[in-house]
Amino acid sequence: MQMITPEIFYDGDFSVIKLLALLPFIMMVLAIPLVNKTEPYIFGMPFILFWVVLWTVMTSVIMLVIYKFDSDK
Amino acid sequence: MNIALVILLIVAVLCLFLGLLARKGHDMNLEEWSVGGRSFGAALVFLLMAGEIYTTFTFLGGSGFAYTKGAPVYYILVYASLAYIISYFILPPIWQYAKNHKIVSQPHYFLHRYNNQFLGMLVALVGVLSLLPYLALQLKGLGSIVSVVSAGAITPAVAMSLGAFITTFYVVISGIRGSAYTAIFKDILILVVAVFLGIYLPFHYFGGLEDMFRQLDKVKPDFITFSSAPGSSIIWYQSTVLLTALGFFMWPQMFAATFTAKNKQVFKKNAIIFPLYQLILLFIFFVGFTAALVIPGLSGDKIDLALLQLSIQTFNPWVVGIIGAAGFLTAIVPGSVLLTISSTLIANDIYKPVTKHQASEKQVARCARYLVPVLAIITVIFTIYGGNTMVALLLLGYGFVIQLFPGVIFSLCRRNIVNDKGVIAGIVAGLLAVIFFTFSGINLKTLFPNGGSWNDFNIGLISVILNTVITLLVSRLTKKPA
Repeated sequence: MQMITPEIFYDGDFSVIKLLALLPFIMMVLAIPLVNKTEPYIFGMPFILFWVVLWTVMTSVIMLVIYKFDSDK
Repeated sequence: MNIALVILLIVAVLCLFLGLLARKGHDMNLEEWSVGGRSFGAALVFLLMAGEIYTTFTFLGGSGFAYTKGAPVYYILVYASLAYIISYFILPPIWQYAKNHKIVSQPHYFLHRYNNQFLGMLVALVGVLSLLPYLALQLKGLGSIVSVVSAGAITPAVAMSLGAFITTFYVVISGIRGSAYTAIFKDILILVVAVFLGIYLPFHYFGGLEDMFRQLDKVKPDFITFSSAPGSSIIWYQSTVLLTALGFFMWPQMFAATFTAKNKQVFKKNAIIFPLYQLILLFIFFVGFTAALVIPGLSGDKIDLALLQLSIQTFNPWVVGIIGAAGFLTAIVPGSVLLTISSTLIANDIYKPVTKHQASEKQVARCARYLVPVLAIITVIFTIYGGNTMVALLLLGYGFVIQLFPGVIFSLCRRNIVNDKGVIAGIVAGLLAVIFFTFSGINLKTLFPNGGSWNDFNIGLISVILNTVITLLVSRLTKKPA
């Protein structure tokens, strides 16, 4: 059977590091029911908002890591 | 004439001047005019895309959404970050393909990938249909800003027409390069204004951010967290985040902005920086939440004026003028890009094929230029008579534009398993599904009375799933026997 391999993984070499890109989706979409609360307040924000902000920043960090290990650059 | 209005005018003139400055010394064939000659570095592509992120809708609509809905507004912060992750993987191959085949537009990309002229025209049509309501929103925001800042001396309709005229003039003389340079000015201004308002207002009225949020939680329980109310549930948030994250780069203007990059590393670097850039939105949410406590009771399309009303109540006219100017620029810059892209789409991807490619480059370019004022006038009429249905139309635009996603993703597969007929059938089915759900009054609750919170699932996402299934099915059925 011929594998349907997207160019997106063919363009550079596919590496396990790229799977890190799934983390923000898990944390900011799937995990929301677990963090839907106001307490504790962090940096003046209710917890749910802090969580979203934290993972927005983490998205940048993760993309930086992926970029560092990207063989095609 | 008041001080606030004078500041607005100074900004408008400066805006035009910067556009002219950027244009100097550059040849202006159609490719140059619409994609800046594919020579923008990371900084300019960043600004061009950023210019499309901070529109009037985020500035006024973002604070208005926080004001009226609460927690659901968090989706605006999240979806774009997720869209950049997707962009890291899909934009470089799209850019590479476009460069190899000298492709300047989204329909051209589809046409080339699937070798079907009709598909190219269909994609152009989907693009323009999605863009016009988006452009209308910019003009509506522009009209409200000028009208409110002038204390009602200028009516929204007059302000909107004037704004459309300025935008048109601006597009014709500057093109996309002008927009990118003006975006620098605009984004600095919006950054300063948003951070200032987002910090000052909660401290001024409540003594701090946490105090403001605690007060809000007391006055409106379940407001800053997700509740089970329709349109405020976690299901609504999750499905809407997915729809908008996937649809983000399908907008013709975002797709076209990718063609302006000098190399594909630009997108990878941008994917690192852009999520941080999104954080400016946070301050806009703070403004909306503060307004929910200080000036409750706005309704209808007044909701989008929460930020301006609170500013007028808090500051002297001079500061209001600067805030108004920031809002003004968030309408003009994206508006000019939307106008450029729409007119180029029609000229290049509908007019040219209709003339069986007999039209010369010059005629196509002239057609694009003539279309700019025509589209601006159509949009103004649409905005004035469209009334309150604008937000509904924007969601309709997102529902339309997401239908291009399956065709793009399949085209990136090493061995494409779908064909032109499948993609056309999929897009048409997706469009019909969106139109059906929007205009028939039938929603998921009517279909599944016992669905509970699942009925809050975004219909655009359902339509695109249907689109994908049809695309695969029709491709399978129309496949030539091996």
